[in-house]
Amino acid sequence: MIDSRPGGAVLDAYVADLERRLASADPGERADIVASVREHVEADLAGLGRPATSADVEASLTTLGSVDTVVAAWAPDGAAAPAVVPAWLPPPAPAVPPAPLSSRARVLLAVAAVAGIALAVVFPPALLLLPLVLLMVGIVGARRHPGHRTPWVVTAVLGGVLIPLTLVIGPLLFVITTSSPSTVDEGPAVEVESVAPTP
Amino acid sequence: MLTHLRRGTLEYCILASLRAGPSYGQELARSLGTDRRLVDSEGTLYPLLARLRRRGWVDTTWADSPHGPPRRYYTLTPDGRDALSGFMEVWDPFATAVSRCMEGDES
Repeated sequence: MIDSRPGGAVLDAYVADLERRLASADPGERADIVASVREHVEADLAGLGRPATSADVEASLTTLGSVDTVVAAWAPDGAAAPAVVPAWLPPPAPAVPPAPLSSRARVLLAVAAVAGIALAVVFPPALLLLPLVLLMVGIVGARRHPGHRTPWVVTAVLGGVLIPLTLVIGPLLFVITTSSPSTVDEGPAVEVESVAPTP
Repeated sequence: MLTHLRRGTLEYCILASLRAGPSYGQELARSLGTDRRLVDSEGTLYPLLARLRRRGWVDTTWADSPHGPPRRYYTLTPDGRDALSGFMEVWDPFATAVSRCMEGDES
């Protein structure tokens, strides 16, 4: 219904704009807000004690604030965000950079790497344990450094992939490294007789 | 800045204003609007009042006005009173902690 009173068109336009901007709100809530705003203006005008003018309506709407302001007060509840992100919303938080490894963890990793290499040189079969060590280190690292999981997960996956390979290669390596030359079958010994040169 | 600070606190100011008794929208707006740091646009109260009503923290009734159309009066419900009490319990220590932080007092 069109309000034919002075300023009625301005009030109607304000209310219609508010209703449109609250389109994604719950219908009951939208009707509640719109009706309350209209009642506020009506109460303002009734309190004048004289016929209201267009200026009175505009003054009342000014104290209410812009439609943007009213909609902004509704939106933080998160029932349904407006299509356009309003300027009052804080900017999205920047992605949290992954936490770097602590210096203690770096030292431990370096020591473990050196010890592993030394052990492999001195006792090559120890390499068979490498996949298991990788798997364990990867799992523990991923749990302790949730913000920096990628290298730890890669380590664990590498260990997991190498374990079945090791189960195949391991026995072969064991046989090779534990076989001594005396046990190798070199075929029948050939006895070479020294033959005296014939005069 | 004020917009961010108002968010989440202004609705409890409305509940606090209703402790003394029922009030209608325009009256609440004028009361809270006397301090522009709390309310600088009276229309911002109505979405908050609608939200409080949806939560069951305030209830509304209609009553005749001495002049003009009937008024919608907002009343604090028992749930609203509990919510206000819960807010007040945490607000003072929180505000004190913020003030201490701003003053740089690390004791």
